[in-house]
Amino acid sequence: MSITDNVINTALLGTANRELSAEDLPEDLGDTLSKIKETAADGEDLFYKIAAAFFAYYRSGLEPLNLKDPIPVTVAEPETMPYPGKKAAALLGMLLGEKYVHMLLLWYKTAAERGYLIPAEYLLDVLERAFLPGSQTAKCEKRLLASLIGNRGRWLLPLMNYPPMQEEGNEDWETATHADRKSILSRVRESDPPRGIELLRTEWKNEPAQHRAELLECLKTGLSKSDEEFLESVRAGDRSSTVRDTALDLLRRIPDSAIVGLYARTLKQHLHYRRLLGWSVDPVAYSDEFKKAGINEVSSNKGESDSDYILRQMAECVPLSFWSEILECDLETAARRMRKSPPFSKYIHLENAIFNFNDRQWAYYWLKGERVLQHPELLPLVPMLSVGQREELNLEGKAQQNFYVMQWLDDNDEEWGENFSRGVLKMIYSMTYCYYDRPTCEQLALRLPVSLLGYIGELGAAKENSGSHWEFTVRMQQLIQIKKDIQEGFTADV
Amino acid sequence: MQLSEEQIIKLAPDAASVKAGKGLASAAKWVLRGASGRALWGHCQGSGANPYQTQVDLQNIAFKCSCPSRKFPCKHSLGLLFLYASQPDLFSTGEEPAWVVEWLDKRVNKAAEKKEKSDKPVDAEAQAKRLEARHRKVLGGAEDLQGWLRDLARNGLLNVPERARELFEGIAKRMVDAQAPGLAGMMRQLQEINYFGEDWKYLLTALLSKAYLVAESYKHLGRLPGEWQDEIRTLVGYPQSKEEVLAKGQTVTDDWYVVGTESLQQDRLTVEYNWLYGRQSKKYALFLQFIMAGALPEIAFMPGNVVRADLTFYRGIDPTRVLVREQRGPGEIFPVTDGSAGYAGLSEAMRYFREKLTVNPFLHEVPVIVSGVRFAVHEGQFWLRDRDWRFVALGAGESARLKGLAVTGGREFTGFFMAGERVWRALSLWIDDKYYTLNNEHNG
Repeated sequence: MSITDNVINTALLGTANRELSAEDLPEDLGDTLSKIKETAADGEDLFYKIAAAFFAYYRSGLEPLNLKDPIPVTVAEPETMPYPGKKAAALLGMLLGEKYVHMLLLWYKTAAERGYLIPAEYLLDVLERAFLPGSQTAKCEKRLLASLIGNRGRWLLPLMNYPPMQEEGNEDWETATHADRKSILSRVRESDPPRGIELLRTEWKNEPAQHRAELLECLKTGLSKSDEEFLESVRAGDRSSTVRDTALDLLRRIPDSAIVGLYARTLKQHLHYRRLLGWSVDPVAYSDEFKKAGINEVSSNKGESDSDYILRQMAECVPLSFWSEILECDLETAARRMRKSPPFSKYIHLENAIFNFNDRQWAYYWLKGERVLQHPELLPLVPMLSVGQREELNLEGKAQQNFYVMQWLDDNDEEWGENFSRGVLKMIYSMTYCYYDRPTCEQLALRLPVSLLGYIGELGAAKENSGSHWEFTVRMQQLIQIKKDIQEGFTADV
Repeated sequence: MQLSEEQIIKLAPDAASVKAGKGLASAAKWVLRGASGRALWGHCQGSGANPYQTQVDLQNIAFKCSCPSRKFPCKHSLGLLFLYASQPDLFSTGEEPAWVVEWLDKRVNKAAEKKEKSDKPVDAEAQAKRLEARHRKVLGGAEDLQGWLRDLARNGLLNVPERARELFEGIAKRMVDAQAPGLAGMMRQLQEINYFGEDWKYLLTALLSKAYLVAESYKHLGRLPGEWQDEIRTLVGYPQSKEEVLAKGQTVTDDWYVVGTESLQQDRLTVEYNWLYGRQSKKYALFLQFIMAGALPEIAFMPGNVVRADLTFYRGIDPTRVLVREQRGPGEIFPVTDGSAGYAGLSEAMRYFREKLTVNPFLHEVPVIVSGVRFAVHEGQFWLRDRDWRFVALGAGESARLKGLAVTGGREFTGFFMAGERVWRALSLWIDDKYYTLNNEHNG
């Protein structure tokens, strides 16, 4: 029982019900109590004065606690990596303050590449951001932060009631959620595609159909002939048509798969090319084999015969090497000829094949020499090109008003070359109205070289009467400057 | 004057301004950046055609910006300060432009006018009459309060929690009518007790008895020594006029370390608590400022900085509250983490706390610097532990608590605390030769 209890109990019950007596108080207060009693007007007056004396007495004896079972104290392990300099740290503070999500991610990436940690004073904000419910970038932030928060951050996570952050590759497939499994699978496929199939096989039969289909989609990464056996088994035996269709779609993306081989053989028998006469077609009859190979029988277009339709579907699913063989020329010439005069020219979309095989070289040949902006069907192929290939693109002319640069901002935020960047900027400034939201501007700034800062100013000055262009100019200049600061902030290590 | 990020954050009106200000702390946002010994200035490019003209008085922190923001200081002023704090080399150090010189001169003239006004003599007779009338009113109020408290004690406090708000509001209003705002504040403090916590019985009884004793002491004011009269009058709510304090209070010239600041928002009024620690005097001083929304603080103390100043203490028992008689410019940072300031360990600090309470039992909290301590968390409770494995409970907001943990990593540090009888509050700390504030809600 605490020595304060007697006084408090009297206060709670009321002096009408319980009187505070000398026995309730420490002996030391005996004299004080007697003096107070002599002058007290009534019981309540006496109570308050005694209580005041008592609390003063109690406080005058306060000591820090000496606990029987001491509270465990943990200390974060010392860091093995350095903290960045003042400039980089200040930039981080600035980026956390503003809503520059992509620039923040660039800071994280740069810090990770150069082996720096998040300064301790920013850990709280950084972690709160990464665990913010509903954040679209949380996953990416956590992935980058796993190596940036250091021992201090890892020590802090449980104290903030957050789960541990696992570095990439350390996740457990067995216990992962479906969303996590998809990301694990995609990542594994990048480095070790056969291991991805092994992972899939472990829980394949227990997964629901929708999940199976979504997991199969992840095989697009690192897809090759070695996946054919698994995909064929799925296509032949899975109980869900969605899963079977997904497997078929994937098989069509493997240039040397049996199914693509079937298409190639059929096309070789029925499609002929003669230098002077061009393409000729021998009609083909629909068969069960075609049906199993995912070929439809009847065209929805009255102007296209069913035979042409069957062959056209196959033609849209064979690789460039096939056309090179048929046309008896090298790949680049084949691509050029096919672009100029393909078979079934009225309806064929060979861009589908380029996408299917994710054939960067074919896309490059396809776009080379074209005035890309004049052909809307070519625009989606641009992100497939490498930085060097994009430099050779012809971006002359005016883009259509509904063109939105966002479609050229792929997942890979590698910096573009100067020619391509200039072309993109010219195109943006040539449009009547130029509104780009902050995230798009950020993504664009990540790709534009810092050396174009002055060029943006020039383009902006030429459009100074347009409010939307002015706003875009100011924003882009600011963002590119920030990007420059991030790059130099770490370089200088100041 | 070179300010740290922490210090600038303290100047911001809210967390949103800090965020927005940090967003502007980039060279890309400023088309003009300049600095001199007494001011910073810049042109911030917004989305409009004309940039905003922003200037900061560095000698006696003040801001001016041509933006239409109602916040003060605005994000541009904060952004300029943040940028200067992180990259001073980006600022040209040429001559101040005319618009900056004009503003600075205006400020100097205004300060001189203000001083002139305050030197005017007061009508002593009228003042004495007013004081006498007030004394009678307060006496009546003290009598009423005691009567009311006696009724409360007679019936018991068991049913207070469910009616605390209405119960104490009425008597608080009566105390305001009786011109005893100090007593009214004590009654309102009773409304703020956490009646769902375990401690409410103790706090309620202790605070009621304290209020009763203050009222009783006021009734017998004439029998008390001079210092106690001042103390009781202050507790009841009599203000000590600035002139009176400057004329009669003890003045201490020293290098004062701004060890912590706190802000309390009350509607449109911000009460700013600046805690200072004297290098030679080893005294703690509290400089209070009452700032209306949109108004400038008279003096801006930067936590973590040292200011050379003459501080005059208010009268009372072992007073801490001060007025700034004269600021003599920035002082040199002096060490507080090497044991030359404050106490090593909690037992020593607690002894100091007890001594202070023995001198003035009405004290609520005692400022103290303690070194060799570390944070500990156990079952949701936050503790402070010293090398002898002694503990005190810490009361702190979630973000302050986590910030303390983040910057210390569980290691030993030197901290500035407000020591209370039930819990201590950590306001700031020093670790790895860096100073961090913990209490401000828009930290970091």
